[in-house]
Amino acid sequence: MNIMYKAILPVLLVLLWACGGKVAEEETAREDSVAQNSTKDSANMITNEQSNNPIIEKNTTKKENLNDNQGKVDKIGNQSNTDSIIGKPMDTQISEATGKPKKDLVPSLPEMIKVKGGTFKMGSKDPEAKDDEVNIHEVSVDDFFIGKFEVTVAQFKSFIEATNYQTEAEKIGKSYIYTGSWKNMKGITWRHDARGNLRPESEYDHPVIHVSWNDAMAYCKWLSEQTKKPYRLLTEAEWEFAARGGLQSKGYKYSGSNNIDETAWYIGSSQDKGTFPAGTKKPNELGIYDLSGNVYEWCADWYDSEYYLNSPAQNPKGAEDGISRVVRGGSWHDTAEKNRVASRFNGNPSYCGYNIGFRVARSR
Amino acid sequence: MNNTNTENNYKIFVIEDNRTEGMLLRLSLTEMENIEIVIFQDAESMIKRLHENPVIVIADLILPNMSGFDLIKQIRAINENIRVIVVSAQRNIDLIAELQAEGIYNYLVKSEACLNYLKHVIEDLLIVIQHKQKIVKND
Repeated sequence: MNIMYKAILPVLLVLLWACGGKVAEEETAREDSVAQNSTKDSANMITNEQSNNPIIEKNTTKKENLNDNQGKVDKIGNQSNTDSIIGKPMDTQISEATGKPKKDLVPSLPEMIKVKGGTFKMGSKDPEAKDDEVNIHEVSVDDFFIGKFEVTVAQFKSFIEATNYQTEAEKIGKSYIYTGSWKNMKGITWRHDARGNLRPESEYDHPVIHVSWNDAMAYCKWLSEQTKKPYRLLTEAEWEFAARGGLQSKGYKYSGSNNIDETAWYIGSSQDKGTFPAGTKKPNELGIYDLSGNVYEWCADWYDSEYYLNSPAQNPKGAEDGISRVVRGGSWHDTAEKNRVASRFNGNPSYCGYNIGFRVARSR
Repeated sequence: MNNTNTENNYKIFVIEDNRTEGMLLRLSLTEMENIEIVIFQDAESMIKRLHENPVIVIADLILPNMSGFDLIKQIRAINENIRVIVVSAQRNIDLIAELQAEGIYNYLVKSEACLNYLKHVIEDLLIVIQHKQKIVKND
């Protein structure tokens, strides 16, 4: 018996070892396969982005970018496998104690609200109205989806970590800050607040700033690749239609109220201190937050001060060309009149600073 | 020539080549106490009198014979205590940021309501200046 046991045991051990090894090999093979697919997806994404973005091409080669992204590839692959979860709208819960979105529930990708299209009067003759907004004209927009909040630091961070994208502020090496006076400060990036301090993670629910129009477009492109949905910036007409409350508009001067203090972080309510967490003021008629105030928002259109004189009535998309892009909504650093739903501003597509971020949209 | 700003008399220099707008500006500010407004048609004639130490200079960006940027640089080089307020129709945020970084005190976009707002800005600024003068005096 003892002799038999001694003879069989090594055979059993060898068999067990052989089976275990095979299982381990299969698992390794599966992991490799996932990693390769992810790398391919990621490679496509980065290559496509580079081909449309001369700024990136100038600064990094495709190979360098791929190598830099090797460690982040699995994350992208996992995200694209759960596209249905990503695409599902998540209801951000607001803490009763603070009135702020609960940190652990802030989605890492933008939550979208469907806006039913319609016709409205674009422009204003408010006493504060400027020359470029006084030609009131009728405009119709189709249905579209709009970000419920401005894109947050956390959401922008996901993009940077997945792609290793270098923002314009990083390439130029500086961005405008405000500390009581204004400076174009070296070393300021999307990681910093309006005063130039590095943001703690507790502030990652603030809207991202120090991002240019070009950066916002790169984010939309990445988000589209990840979700297989065509994300973009809002047209100026869509922005104003949504800010006015769409078909549920109550004709407010600021988005969501005639009392700016209850609906916007502007120079009065912010006490000129900086940005505030997204979605911590009253939303507008459509449930959209911060269209007035917190940060200026880049729109897709080229800016033309006389565009309202000859704008098409159906889905206007801005001037055919220009030198600056439309900027809307005012900011924490601006007076009430600049936070009006009709107020128009513009900025060079490469501008970045303490007061400007963006919001995403899509047509379907 | 009076070249000082006392507690009771503050000089405000305005460059406005449009006579109507200059007049409107003067009218809107005349109710304010303790200020003396001097309006110039161009930047050069204003610069020649900067030794009179105005507390505030109000200027447009588009000026005859000089860019608004050059004017701001010159004023800041001569006396950086002079507060420069730019009132312009330009609504370009990078231009405004650049002006702010040059050290302007405030930027107002021209509109019907801007004269009223300008008045408030000047009132607030004069309070700050008076407060600073008192601190210096007490020291």
